[in-house]
Amino acid sequence: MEPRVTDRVLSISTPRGRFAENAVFGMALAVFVEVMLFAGFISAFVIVRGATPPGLWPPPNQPRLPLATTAFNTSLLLASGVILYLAHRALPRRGAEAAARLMGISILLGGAFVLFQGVEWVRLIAQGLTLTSSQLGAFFYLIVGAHGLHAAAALVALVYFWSAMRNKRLSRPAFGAVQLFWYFVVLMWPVIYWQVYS
Amino acid sequence: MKRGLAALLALAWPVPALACAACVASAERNRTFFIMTMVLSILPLAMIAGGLWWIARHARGRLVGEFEERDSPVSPSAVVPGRRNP
Repeated sequence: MEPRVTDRVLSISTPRGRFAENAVFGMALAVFVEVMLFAGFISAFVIVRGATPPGLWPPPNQPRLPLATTAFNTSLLLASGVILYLAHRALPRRGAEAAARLMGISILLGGAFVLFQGVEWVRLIAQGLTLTSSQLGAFFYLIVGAHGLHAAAALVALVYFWSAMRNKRLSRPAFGAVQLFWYFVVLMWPVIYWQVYS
Repeated sequence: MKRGLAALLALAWPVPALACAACVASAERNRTFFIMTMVLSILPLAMIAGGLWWIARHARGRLVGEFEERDSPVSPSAVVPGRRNP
């Protein structure tokens, strides 16, 4: 039986003698740089917070960051990452359609995370936490904003590749690269939540 | 003369430079600064080590037989008369 286009395209494995596809390797290098970027941001934040006299962090005249709502958001993002991994597992076993379905759910959960983060930002700005209102505001919008930007960019990429998967045009290396980027977005967030929100 | 004397006096009384925010901070802040310095120093090295470990782990599987196949002689049964053989 002649294999379908999907089977042929999606079953491409890493060529012999190479450790990783170019797309995946390139994305791994990009993720390396991004991890260091966020490590720098968080490091600066921790040092500034450590320099504040006891009892003055968070600044008394500033709104408190919503811990519970963001914990719910965090669970959405983590679930999105897990489901994308399940899509990766489903691809060779259950085919592109099943993987695309799971990928779609992952995108919806990731989109919900970005949306709720936006709602949270609007609420915080209304309460007086802005980029210039305090060091907390400056770091909050820098770190969480940078993460949100990465999440939004990764979602655009995921939607593009989800569409390609549905149209049976997606190659395995491209799927691997976009997965790697999304895992970075997902795994970076708990660290940010732990450091910035706590 | 005055300049020389000023330079001599300046050399005679060395004091800490206190040029960065962390140097003039409290002991607690210095500790935080030290911890974050360690994190920022070790993190890239850990990621590089992780990458090398991953490559080493996958290299075993990927490179097995890579050269054996290329260097192995063609078996007589594989040679077909009248055809261009490898």
